[in-house]
Amino acid sequence: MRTDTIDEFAASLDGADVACTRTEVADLTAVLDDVVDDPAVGAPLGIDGVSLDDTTVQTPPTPQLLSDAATGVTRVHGGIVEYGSFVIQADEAGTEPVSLYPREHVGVVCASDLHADVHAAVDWLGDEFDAGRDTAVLATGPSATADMGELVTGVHGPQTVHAVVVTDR
Amino acid sequence: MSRREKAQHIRHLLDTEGDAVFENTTHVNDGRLEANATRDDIEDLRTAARRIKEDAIEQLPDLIETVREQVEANGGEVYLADDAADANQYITAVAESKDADLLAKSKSMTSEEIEVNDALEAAGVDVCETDLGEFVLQVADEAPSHLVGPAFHKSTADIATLFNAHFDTGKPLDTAEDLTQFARDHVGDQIRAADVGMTGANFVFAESGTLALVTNEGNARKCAVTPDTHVAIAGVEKLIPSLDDFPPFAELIARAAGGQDIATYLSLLTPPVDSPVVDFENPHEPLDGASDDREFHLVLLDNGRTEMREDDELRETLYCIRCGACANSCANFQHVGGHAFGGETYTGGIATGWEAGVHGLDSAAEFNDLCTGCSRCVDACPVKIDIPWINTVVRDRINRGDDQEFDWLVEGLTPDADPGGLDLQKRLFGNFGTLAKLGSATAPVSNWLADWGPSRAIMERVAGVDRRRDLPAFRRETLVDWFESRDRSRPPATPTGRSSSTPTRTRTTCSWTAGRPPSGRLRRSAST
Ligand code: SF4
Repeated sequence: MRTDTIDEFAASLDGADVACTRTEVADLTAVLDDVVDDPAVGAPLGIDGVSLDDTTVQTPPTPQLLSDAATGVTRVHGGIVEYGSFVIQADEAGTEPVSLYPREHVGVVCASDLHADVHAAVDWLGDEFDAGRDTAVLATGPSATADMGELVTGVHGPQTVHAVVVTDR
Repeated sequence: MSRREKAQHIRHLLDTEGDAVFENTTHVNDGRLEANATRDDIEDLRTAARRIKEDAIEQLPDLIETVREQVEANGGEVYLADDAADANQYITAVAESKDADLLAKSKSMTSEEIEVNDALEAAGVDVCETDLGEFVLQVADEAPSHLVGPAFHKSTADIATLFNAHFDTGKPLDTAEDLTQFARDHVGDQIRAADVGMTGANFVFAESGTLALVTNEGNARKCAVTPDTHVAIAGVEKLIPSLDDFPPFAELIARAAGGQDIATYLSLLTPPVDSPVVDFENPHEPLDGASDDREFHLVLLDNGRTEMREDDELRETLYCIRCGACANSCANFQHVGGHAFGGETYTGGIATGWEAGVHGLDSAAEFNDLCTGCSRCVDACPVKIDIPWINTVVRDRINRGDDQEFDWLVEGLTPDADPGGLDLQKRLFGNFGTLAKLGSATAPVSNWLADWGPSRAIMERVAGVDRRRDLPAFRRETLVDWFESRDRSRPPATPTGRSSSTPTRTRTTCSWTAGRPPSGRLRRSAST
């Protein structure tokens, strides 16, 4: 993945109020320990050679952990460079609720999973749908509302979002 | 409502809700223009979106069959409900079969259309509105005033007063932040306790049986995945063929609704989903989607839509993606809001088409005259609906409906082609050309007569022309006479470019200029 694509993604993340940390896979667990607020809960990242067992992040998720955790850590299966969006696919391990319930979401995205725009991301998702992975959310920035008369972030979904981009995967 | 009562009602709304509506619509309009300005392909996207909706409505019976087969193959159920009662019966039966005490619901105008909360509550199932705007209205026991921002008519101070009076909040709530935090926690507890989750759908992809939900708060995500049972309600017009058709809508809907480049959450759910049920009654049990037994019901609502599809003039209403831009861009809406400019369920310019189609002409007649046909909304609409034309058609149908008693008074003012039955006021002014000819020919007698007290009293009672309203003064002079008598040294006036006054389908374009400076964008969930 070219560095300028990652730069562009990082700029879009910034525009969407999402922090961004870059790392190589070898340092991923250390970076996670650094960026998460404890207590943290996670769902398996599905990245070869990386286990949340080597971090302070607790697995597997339980309803109690979802309630108590300050941070939820999950894989982000795709990124949309233009908007700084996460594409998070649902799975049986609970990636969707872990990315949704805690006040902070830390999403781990591999540089090779970045797509230029919505069109490209939907093209890729079409293949994923065909393969049976047919539920996903395109999430851009923290949850927000203006229903109380002014823009407030942190509603039913996370209040802060942090992207960890694995540059060599 | 009589004219007098209606005027009184509107004056009351201008006083009580006008300021909040004006402020909110102004912000959203600024945001929409700003967001659209960041792309140079908005027109192409609108054209593509329009075509997809046209084709989908054309193929609707096939899409219904396709989605039924696919959802069933996925392990869910599809119920095609003829009308509101039918849909409510089905949804209530699902809730009862789960012994549900509490249902958590995300925002859905279609669920408002069928008034499902009343049906569920009558069956002993409590409903918790989880969109914060809807939650405010549930507490206030009021109807939504906007397709996208249901509590658009309430200011922060209004909501603070409401919450402080209704809840024991400890210290009084004051800021938008306080209110959001309080409502989030209160509603969050309800979602955790809910037995059934209910959502709408902004789009339904027939080929995969997928719901697309456009939200910002995250409540719809929680409603859909937390309990083991998910009921989705969608009008049949929400069907589009597949995921491939989604990109133009993903780009357009949040821009049109509130000036965001993209909504915070575009959820593409193909239920029953793999995500594990989150059972807060067993807090230490690890989540495990593999062992869950999820249930999913898709209720597709007809409720007049099949007839709308067959109606050459109302069909276009079915292309509507309920972004609310036609309301925001409307000068009248900006002042009175959706409690005046709206019917039983829907609000804003396009509400005329929806109300006429799903509730009937009487509901549309309550507010339809607030559309002046200026066409500002046409440019704002992401699917290019000719909203003023729908208003014109529905108004015409309403006007021809009843009220023949005093026809003799304006007889001769109506062209032969126009049969009786038109509202007398409309025939008086709608045929102004004839009225003017008659008035000019008999001036100055016509002017004395028009201003004479008893004439004004009759006009007020019979044709609804307020006696304080200035009437045009007629001159016994034709346009040709007048033109000839003008100073001939001046060049003739150039045409102003306004649309023809003949009742043919014409469009004027009108660019929006905001009345107040921008101060931040508003984020609300697009309506389902
Ligand atoms: S008619 Fe157009 S502008 Fe109005 S709500 Fe529907 S899609 Fe939006």
